[in-house]
Amino acid sequence: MRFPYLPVLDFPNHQKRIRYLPWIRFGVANPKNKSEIIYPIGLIDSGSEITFVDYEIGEKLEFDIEKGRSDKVYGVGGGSIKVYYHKTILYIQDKDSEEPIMFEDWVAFSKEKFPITMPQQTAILGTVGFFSHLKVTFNYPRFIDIEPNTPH
Amino acid sequence: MSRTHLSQFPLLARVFSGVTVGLILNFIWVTIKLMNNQRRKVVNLGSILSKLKKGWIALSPDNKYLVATGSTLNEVLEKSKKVGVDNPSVLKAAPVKNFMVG
Repeated sequence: MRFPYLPVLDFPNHQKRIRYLPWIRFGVANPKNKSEIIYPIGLIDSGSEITFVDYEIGEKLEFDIEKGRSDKVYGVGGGSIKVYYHKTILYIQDKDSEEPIMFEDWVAFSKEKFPITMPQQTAILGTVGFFSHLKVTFNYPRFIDIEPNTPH
Repeated sequence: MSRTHLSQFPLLARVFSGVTVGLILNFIWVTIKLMNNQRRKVVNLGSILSKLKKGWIALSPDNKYLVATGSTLNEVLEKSKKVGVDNPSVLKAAPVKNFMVG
């Protein structure tokens, strides 16, 4: 499956600048209610060990967030936030595919917010919950290819 | 009672009226197209996120068009449904102009 980079245009110091961000649309659902799927736009981040999704999405999917196994995660600058892991179903699908790549894995939800300066507050797609199931090829700035991981 | 026949009009007048009608139709078509383009303007995420300090945005499933903005996820999902987009892409407001490492 092929996903475009998300272009972002801004004008720092009145100079036009286009950045191409590795942000993609994916689906997330609660295994207890597979009919409701939310489609956040998340950052593909090979530097992140976990997949993180904003807590409002977890609440909308009727996860009892604070009942999940809790952990602390650390980011740039040494700050940490408390997260709660839940088994979720994730869907990866580009606009041309009839069937999504679908898998179940742990996703972290948190009631604490990421630092306000962080440019991605919705979802971060990391090793657990994303890369461990997929073969991801970055072809900047044209596209990102995502295929299911072939078993070894 | 005399009946007006098309052949009574001079050729030049007929050509002129045909061209005029064509130009008017073309003008209407271009205007409608421009209006549609304005309504369905391809999203510039940088511009939207720079104006939106908090809350959520919903985009069309191809991430090209802005569908709704709101203070909560529920609000943007409901607004999207009302305009016929059942499965929008959702994104929380964030300072996208900042660079990220991690």
